Amino acid sequence: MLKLLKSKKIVVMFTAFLLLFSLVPAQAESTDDLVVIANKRFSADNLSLTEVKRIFKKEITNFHGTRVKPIHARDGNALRQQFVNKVLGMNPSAEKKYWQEMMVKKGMNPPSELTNTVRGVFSTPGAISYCFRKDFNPTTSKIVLSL
Amino acid sequence: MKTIELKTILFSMLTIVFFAVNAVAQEAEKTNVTDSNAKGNNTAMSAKTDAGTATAANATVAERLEALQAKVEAQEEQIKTLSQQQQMAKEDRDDLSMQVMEANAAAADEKFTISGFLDLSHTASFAKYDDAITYYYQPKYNSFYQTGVNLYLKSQMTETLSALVETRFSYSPNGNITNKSQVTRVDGVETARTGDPDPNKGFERTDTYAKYQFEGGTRLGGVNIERAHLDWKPRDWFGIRAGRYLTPFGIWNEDHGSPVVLTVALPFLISWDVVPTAQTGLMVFGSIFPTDLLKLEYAVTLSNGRGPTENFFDTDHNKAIGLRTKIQVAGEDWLISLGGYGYYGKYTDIETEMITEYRIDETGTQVLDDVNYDLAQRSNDVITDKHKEYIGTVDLKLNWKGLTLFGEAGARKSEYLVRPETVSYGTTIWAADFITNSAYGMLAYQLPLEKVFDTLTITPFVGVDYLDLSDANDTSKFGIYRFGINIKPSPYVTLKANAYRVDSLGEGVDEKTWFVKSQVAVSF
Repeated sequence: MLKLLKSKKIVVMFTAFLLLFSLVPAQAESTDDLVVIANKRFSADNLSLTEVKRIFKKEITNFHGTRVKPIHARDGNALRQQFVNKVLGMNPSAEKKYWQEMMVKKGMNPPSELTNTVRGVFSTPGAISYCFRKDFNPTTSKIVLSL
Repeated sequence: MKTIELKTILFSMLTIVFFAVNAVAQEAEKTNVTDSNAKGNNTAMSAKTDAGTATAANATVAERLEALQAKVEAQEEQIKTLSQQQQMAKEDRDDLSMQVMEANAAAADEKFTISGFLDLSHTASFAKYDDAITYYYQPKYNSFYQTGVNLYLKSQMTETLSALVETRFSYSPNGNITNKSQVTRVDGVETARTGDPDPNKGFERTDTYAKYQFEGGTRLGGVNIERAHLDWKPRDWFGIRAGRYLTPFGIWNEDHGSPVVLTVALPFLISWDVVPTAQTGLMVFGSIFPTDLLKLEYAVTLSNGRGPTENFFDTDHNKAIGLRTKIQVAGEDWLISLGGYGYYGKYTDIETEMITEYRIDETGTQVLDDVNYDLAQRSNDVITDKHKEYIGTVDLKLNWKGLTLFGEAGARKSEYLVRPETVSYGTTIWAADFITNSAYGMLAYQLPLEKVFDTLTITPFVGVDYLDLSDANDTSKFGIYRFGINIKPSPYVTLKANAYRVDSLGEGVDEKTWFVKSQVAVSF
C-alpha cells in the first residue's frame, strides 16, 4: 500500500513537473519577445548577445567574409527601444550620442533604419535585424538569437 | 368437451373478422376524407384563379421586383466587397512601394553621407602680470573664437571599399603669426633681437585681405584636409588604408572633434605636435575579439613622416614607420583600455637649386661645360635641417559606472644629422638635440541623471597637464591644472566651461595664469 502511495506521489509530482516544464518554454517564447533575425543566406546560424551588440555598434563589420549590414527599426519605434535597451544597454538618447561621437571620431554612420525590418532582412544580403516573435516569418529570414 | 372447444374457436374467429372488417372500414373512411379535402382545395384554387385573373399579373410583377431588388442588393454587397479588396490591394501596393523607397533610401544612406561639426568658443585670461611670458604662447585678450567647420564626406562604394574625407574650413591663414620677435637684454640694455622661428625677421602676421574687383573686400580663409583616405577592408582583422589619415595613437587624437573631447583647450601633447597628428601614406589595421570581453587592435603605419611638405610629398627617401597596439577589456559597466604607439622617422628640410656649369672655350665664349661634367646643368638639394625622430606614447583609460580616468604620455627624441643654423648679431647658433615630454591625466564623472533626464548628461572633470618642450632649454616647462564641466543637453550639442591655470615651471619664470574658456560645439 505504501509502495502504491509512493508511486502515486511520484506520478503526481511528475505530472506537476511536466505541467510546469511545459509552461516555461511557452513563457520564453512569448509572441512579444524579440528575436534577432538574419538574411537566409547569412553565414552564421547563431550569434551571441555580445556579437549582436558589436554588430549594431559596427565594431564587427564582417562575418566570415560577408559584410554585415545591421538594420534598425525606425527611431521612436517601441521595437527599437526594447532592442537598444536589451542589447546595447542604452536608452535611445544615449545611442544617438554614441553615433554622433562615432561620426566625429571615425566618420561612421549609424545602421540604416526601416519601418519593416523583416522585409529589409529578406531583401538585403548580409542583413541583421530584429522583430517581435509574432512577426517572424521563417520563409523570409532566420532567427540567430532569441532575446 | 369437443362442442365447447369448437364454440370457443368459432367465437374467436368471428371476433377477429369483426375487428378486421372494422379496421378496413375506418381506413376507407380516412381515404375518402383526404380525397374530398384535395378536391375541395383544387376547387378553391381554381376558384381563386378564376376569380382573380386580373390580380395575377400584378402579383408576378411584384415578385419580379422583389427578385430584382434582392439581386441588386447582392450585387451591391459584391461591389462593396470588391471595393474593399481593391482598397486593401492598393494599401498593400503603397506599402510595398514605401518599403522599396525606404530600402533604396537606406542603401543610399549607407552609400554616401555628409556630416560635420562646428564650434564657438570664448577665452578670458587672468594673469598676475599683464606681461606674463604665458602670453607669448597663449592668447591674452578676452575673445570669441571659432576654429573652423569640419565637414565629413563618407562613401561605402562596395562591400569592402570605402572612402572618408574630413576637411576643415577655417579662417586660417589669416591672422597667423608667422614670426615673433625675441629680445635679449643685459642689465636693461638690449643685446640681441632675433625672430622666432626665423631669427633674421621681426614680427610677421599673415593678412589675407583681398579686395573685390569693384568695391569692398574680404579676408580669405583656407581649407585644411584633416584626413582623406581610401579603405579596403575585406576582414575586420585586416584592412589597408591609403591617403592622409589620423595617426592612430592615444585617445585625444582620434577623438579630436570639439563635440566629443571633454575640454575646450587641447592637451599639450596634441597642441604641441609631440606626435604627428596625421600622416600621409599607408596603414594596415585591424581588430579581433578573442573573447566576449576582450578586444585587440593593431595598426602599422608607413608614411612620409614629418617634414615641411609631408602631407603631399616627401623631402627625403626615408619613410617613417609606426606601430600601434591596444588591448581593451570591457564588461557590462566597466572598461580597461591600454594602448601604445611607437614611431621612427626622419624630418628633412631642403632647398632645391639649379646648378649650371659653364666653361670658356677656345674662342673665349662661355659655353655649357659638358667636358668636365656629365651633366652641365643639374639640380641640387641643400639640406637645411635633418633630424631623426623617435617617438613613443602610452595611453590608459579606466571606466566604471560613469567614472572615467584616462591619460596619455608621450616623448619625442630629436637627433640631428644636419643641424639648422641660426645667425644672430654675427653669431652662428646650431640647434641641439633635444627631448620633448608631455603627459596629461583626466578624471571625469558622468552624473547618473539618466533616470531623471532622458537626454541630458552632465560631466564634471578635473585634470593635470605637463609639457617640457625641450630638455635643452630650462624655460620651456609648463604645467596645467584644470577643472570644468561638460554638458550635453542633446546628443548633438555640447556645452563646456573650463577653468585652468597655466604654470610656467621654467627657471626664473615662475608664473601662474588663469584662463576661463567656454564653448558650444554642435555635430550635425
